[in-house]
Amino acid sequence: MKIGGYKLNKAISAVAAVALVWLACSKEPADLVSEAGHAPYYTTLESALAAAGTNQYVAVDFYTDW
Amino acid sequence: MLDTVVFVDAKAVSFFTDSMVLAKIHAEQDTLPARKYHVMGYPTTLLLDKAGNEVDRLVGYAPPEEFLKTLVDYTRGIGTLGDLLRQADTATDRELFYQIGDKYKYRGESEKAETWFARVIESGEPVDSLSGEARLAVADLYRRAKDYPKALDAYRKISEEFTASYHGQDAVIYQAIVYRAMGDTLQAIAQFETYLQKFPESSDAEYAREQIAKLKNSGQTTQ
Repeated sequence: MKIGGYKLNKAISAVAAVALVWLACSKEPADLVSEAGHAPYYTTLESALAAAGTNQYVAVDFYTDW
Repeated sequence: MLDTVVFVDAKAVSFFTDSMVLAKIHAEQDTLPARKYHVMGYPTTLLLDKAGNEVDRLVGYAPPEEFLKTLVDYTRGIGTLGDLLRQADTATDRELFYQIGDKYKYRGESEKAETWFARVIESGEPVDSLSGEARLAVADLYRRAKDYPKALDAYRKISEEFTASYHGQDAVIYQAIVYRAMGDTLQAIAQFETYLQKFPESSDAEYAREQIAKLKNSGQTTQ
């Protein structure tokens, strides 16, 4: 093992890459709301459409506070 | 109601987890989507395909089972505007014509809506129940388009011709609502008072009283 050398850099890069992939896979979109007992929903149209699979439909509930 | 009854229903939770993506858009905070799809009242639920094209929409509240069934039907092309138009090719069903007019109305396609409501009126008796519904719907189109003189005229005629049904009753209070929208406070108050005199026991009597109090306190005295 070379401290500061090629092998250490390669190991650090590999760990960082794995961490990034793990983060990307585990992180939910910021505008997805998942609460127990409530249907999961997106708070933006763009995210909902992006989340829909091919041939999957999107229901969009437009609401106000009044 | 959708949020507190439908979206917490166990079948709905399962449905929107496994089968369909759900979005909830606060129309006053995120205004662009509501404008893009001509959303006119709340709640309105649009069913979109992956590309964002409207399949159809549900306006207002429906119980969970009916809400989910309607969405599933729409995905199968059942009950959509296209489906109803195909049926109308060979049918002379006034209820069907009315439903088509209603779908156009809520999509913001007022001219097409008016055409279909006119078919409802032309193909029935002048003052039957469905004609009354269609005429109220046409008046509502004018009101939403802020064509207040036409709306007032339409409501006035309905109130004169449908004296024995709730259509005439609704037309009286809607005249007050139009005057209020026009900023004509005195006429609005007078019309709400007329409504109370004619229909003191109606379910909208309390609303009329509240509106009179608000208008009198508003200090507006235009026209």
